Amino acid sequence: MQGKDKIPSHIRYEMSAPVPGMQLENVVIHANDRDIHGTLKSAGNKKDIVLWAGSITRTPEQQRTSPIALAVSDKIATNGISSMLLSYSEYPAQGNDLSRCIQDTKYCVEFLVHIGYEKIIMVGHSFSGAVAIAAAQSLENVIGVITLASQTLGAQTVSHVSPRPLLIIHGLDDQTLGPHCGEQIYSWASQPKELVLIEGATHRLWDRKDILEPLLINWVIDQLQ
Amino acid sequence: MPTIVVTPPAPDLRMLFMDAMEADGIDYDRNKDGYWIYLRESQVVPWTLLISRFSLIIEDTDPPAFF
Repeated sequence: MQGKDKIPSHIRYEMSAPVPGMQLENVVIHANDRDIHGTLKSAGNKKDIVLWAGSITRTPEQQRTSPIALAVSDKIATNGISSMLLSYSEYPAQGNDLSRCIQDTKYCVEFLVHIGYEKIIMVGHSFSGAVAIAAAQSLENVIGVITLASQTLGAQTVSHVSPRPLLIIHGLDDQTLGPHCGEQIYSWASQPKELVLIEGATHRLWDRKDILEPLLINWVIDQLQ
Repeated sequence: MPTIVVTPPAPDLRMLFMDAMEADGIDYDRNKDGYWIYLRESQVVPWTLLISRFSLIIEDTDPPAFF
């Protein structure tokens, strides 16, 4: 399938045929000066989707997908909630270029809205936490934001996520970006907001899958009801 | 009025602590070494109540500022 309708005019896209029985499509969004890759996991006919910003890291040698995004997207699909796993353009050759990754994420939201999704929850881990916060602010289809072990750089304007709900999750054993980062973001944010500090969780957070997975699933389902 | 540095309360209380300061209009920063509280004269009473409610440990008062 190829998007020829130029709405918005600066975006074209290509989608591979779904893998039989899996509703999984590889997507390439051609937007102005860049190609943005992602994997779309469609679930039923609902118009709700979770956008996992930066959850796929691509290098010439390999592709790595966030285990959090993989597992949770499978689980929420059973509730009819789709997922888009996004890889930033030219990442990591460009390094962690915040403004470029924010723009990639915005292009992805434009694409999702164009193909019919109406309510989007944005999730970002670490660097991508700041990307999700910054990108969400100007996008009316984004109805909630989740940050996972987010950095503070780029997150200072988090109050603009309000009045949409914000969930901030951080591991108490995070040695990369300490839990004070999540607390600082919480202090900058406006209501409605929630901070969850997970004991025994490092920067990966997935070491407390037992807490993280149901937390994410329940929050996403609650917001999209 | 002083700048006060306090040790973070227990993790499960930190959100409540920040909400309480927000409700009382107390300015603060969460830094790596703790919460830096920027207190005004009119906030002494609510601040005293917060110290008790959250069992806060004061680490420093008017710490030197580094620029």
